[in-house]
Amino acid sequence: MDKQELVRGLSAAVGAENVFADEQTICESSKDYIGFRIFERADGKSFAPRAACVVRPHTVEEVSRTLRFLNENRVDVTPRTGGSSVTQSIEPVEGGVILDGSAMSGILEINETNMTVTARCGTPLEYLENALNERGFTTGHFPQSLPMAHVGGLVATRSTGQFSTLYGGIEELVVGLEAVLPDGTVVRVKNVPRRSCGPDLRQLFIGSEGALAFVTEATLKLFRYRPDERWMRAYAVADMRRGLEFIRAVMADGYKPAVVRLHDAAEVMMVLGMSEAVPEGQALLLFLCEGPRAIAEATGDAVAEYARKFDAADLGGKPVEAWFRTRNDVCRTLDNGLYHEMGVIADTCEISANWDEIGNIYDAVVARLTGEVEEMAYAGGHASHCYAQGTNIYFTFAFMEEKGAQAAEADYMRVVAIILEETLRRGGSVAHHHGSGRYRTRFMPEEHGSSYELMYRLKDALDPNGIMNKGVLLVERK
Amino acid sequence: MNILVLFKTVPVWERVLERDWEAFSPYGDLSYAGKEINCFDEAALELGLRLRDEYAEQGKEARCFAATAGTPHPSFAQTLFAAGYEDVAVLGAGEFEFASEEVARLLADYAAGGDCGLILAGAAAGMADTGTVPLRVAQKLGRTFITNALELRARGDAVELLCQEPDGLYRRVVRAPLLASVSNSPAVLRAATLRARLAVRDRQARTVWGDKTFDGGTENIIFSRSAGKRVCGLLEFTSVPGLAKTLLEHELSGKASARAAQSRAFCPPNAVVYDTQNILWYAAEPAFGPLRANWHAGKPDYALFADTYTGRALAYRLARETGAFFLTGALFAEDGESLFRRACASNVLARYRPRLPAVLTMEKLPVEAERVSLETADEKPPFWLLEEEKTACANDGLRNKKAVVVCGAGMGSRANCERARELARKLGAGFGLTRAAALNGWGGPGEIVGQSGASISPEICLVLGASGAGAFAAGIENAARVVAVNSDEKALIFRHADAGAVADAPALTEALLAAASCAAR
Repeated sequence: MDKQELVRGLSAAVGAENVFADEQTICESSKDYIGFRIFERADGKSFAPRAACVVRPHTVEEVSRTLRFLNENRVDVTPRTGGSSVTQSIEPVEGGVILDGSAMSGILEINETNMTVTARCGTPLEYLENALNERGFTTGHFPQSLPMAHVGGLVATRSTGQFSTLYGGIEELVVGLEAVLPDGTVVRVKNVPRRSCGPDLRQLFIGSEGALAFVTEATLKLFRYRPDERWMRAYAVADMRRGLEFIRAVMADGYKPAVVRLHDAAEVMMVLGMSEAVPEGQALLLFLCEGPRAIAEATGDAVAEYARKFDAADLGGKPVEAWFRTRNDVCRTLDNGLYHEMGVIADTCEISANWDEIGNIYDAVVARLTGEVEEMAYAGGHASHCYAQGTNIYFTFAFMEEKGAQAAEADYMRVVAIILEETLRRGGSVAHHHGSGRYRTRFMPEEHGSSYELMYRLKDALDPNGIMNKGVLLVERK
Repeated sequence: MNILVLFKTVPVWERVLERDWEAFSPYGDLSYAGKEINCFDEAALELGLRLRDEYAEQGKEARCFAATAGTPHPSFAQTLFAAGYEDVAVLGAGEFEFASEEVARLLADYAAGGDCGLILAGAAAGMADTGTVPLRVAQKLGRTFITNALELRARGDAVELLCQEPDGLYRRVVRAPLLASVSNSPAVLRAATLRARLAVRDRQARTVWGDKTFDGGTENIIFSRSAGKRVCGLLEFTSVPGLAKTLLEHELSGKASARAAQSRAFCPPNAVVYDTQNILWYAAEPAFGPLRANWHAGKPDYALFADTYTGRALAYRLARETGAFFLTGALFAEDGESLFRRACASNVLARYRPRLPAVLTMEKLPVEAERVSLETADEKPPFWLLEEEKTACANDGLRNKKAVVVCGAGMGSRANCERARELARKLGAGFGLTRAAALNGWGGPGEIVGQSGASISPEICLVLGASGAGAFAAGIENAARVVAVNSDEKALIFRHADAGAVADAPALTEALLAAASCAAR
């Protein structure tokens, strides 16, 4: 189908005013924030594939008609909402269609009795959170992309937030949802606290990255918003290993701070600039506890007790407050070309593993990055989402790119491969919360092992024509 | 050529907590906020290295050295060594914040002992943030002083500078030796590999005159939070198009009640304003004789100058010679006896009680004061100015329009900013950017509003997606009415606004454009 035909067909399905074939809208809608793409853009280059057009539906019926048309005509479609992807998950297939749910915005219901909120897929999380805060509630979901992300994308990418140690990831926050299958069928999973009527169908869509369906609506849990009852404290601890032991003790003993962050010495110096506050070579721990005052205080008291046990020096609450205030500021400067100006490609890569291996992964990755990559300018990491069984490590890195934008992707993948290889070698997961996107797809067979076959079967069942977000999650079968 | 770059480390201002601003002390522990090299100094450090590289490409030798006063953390010196600096000198010991003259004396003494054809410094650095240290060092060394440099190029024994002046962009070729201050350059210090950092792990900054201690400079200063004097009324709305209609019909049409006209600048008795606007920037020196004669004849308690390059140069020279109290960017307090100036990137106000006589450059000159116009007959460029060419005009829209639309980094993209620019055109308004937005590449340095750019005073200023950092808020303080739009209801910008809307700024921009088109039909 040529572009004109495609635009005509889509215009008939959803109205010409909702179909955009101009260069600017296509480029803006294809924009991904993975490190090498930011570098390429700052260098004036664009190597991302070009879609034929962007469709912005306003209703679930329009989504249904759009998908039905694209499915019948075997046209590739890439779903998106807020556009905060850092994994190439919203980059289109050349000549395909971008299905942008950002115009489907709005809170449908705040149910204070059932403690739920229902919002359409294009509802900005920041708007939703502000509206809930005014009524004394919170979603408990605070990804760093808060100023950019929309509800649909959060569900589709299996997002998590900075307070996840208490509230859990989005998979624990979604009560029910609505999605549109590639053939246009609208499915709804109803809102109940729990049920045992077969596999949990919500989980088919949570983290599906648009490869199985388009999420149009979600109902999320509500929590009481108690910003005045937070307990905050920072500690300096001997090193990353000691810090991990500290966190494990807190989590394994059953305490649930909302925020637990452990920054290594490299991040303390190079990212936080806190060399004056934290002794050289030591790691920094940030804790924030919240909930009913008695629980927040009891959790905080327990953390303070562990700090004594692990010889961690009390730095007071201000480092946590300062982090809290500025924690999402990076969203406003993603495209400022700063790293390009410095001659580096910088990014993060988050993995997870059980307690018995996470420290080994951290050590192995840092040793390989600093030892094998000559151009490495910085390598560090932090743990920021903790569980009784283990934690994540958010590796942060920067390497000099002197060969220019043409080499950016290959050089980037060489660095990322080290992180992911070391993780897989020790039984960890290569994606804690950003999802597979396209850049991690080749690692998915090893990530899933024998269960990977289920992914293909699901794909075949829900998207037999294979039109949905080709290239994410699934390695193309030969 | 040897290149010496003067730098200072400062707290990361954005991370300083509100209660520490409210009870600000320069001796308070702000280490939790982290420290960084001042952004203007960082640009100067990188421009020094680029110039060195350019000389190397031409087969000429150039070397880079850095110096600072105070006690920066050793990690900063390692960063500079790894980036290519051959030496890092730490001058003196102790607390030098708010002691610009002592800092300048140390730096000038150090520079005088070397052979540096070019000295670079950020336009403003340190907590005191006076922006006068480069000027003071230049005068002490008797050096040519060039301000507002954005870029540098090697031109034999001379240096070519691209300078952003209030009236436009200039290319200047200046014979060395010279001292240049760097302002809104987008340059940032290059990264170094871990291996380069490892290679300099054992290198330390060199302490020079560690016995020269200084403690104070702040004993006569009272600090207070610079938090704006406006009371923001948040606009309630049910839809973004509805909000756009309200803004267009009420706020942007001039129907909203503007604040009472700004009170005129207080004028103390026995004050003289020395008008320097007819003096060409390079001709301050010939004007000093008449200034000195006039000052000695009348001995005014307050000799007042505009806070411009020429005003500062003449004022500092006069103060040095007469021993008078000297302050830049000053505002008279309502009691008429004390003075304010902004500090810490305009996050706090420092209140001074001056001794008399005082020589001041003023943020706003009093109209009642006696005026003495200073002029120079000889307008020929000096021998050291080899070439000068204006390459772009100033953004007059910022200063001459009744309404100005200003975009912050919260607009999210260049494309969104372009839409706001279109909105400004439709409204017949001027257009500006915060420094953060300009550094995102969404506009030029001539469009920056704030401490390091233009200070604007339109009847209505619509601020879209700005967080409200002190340095930006200083630039809109004289607007008759400020309307701010930000999706974060806790954003500081609402403290500096008369009306505000908690809304998505790009979406509102689109709605305003649509509403403006409807209104035009």
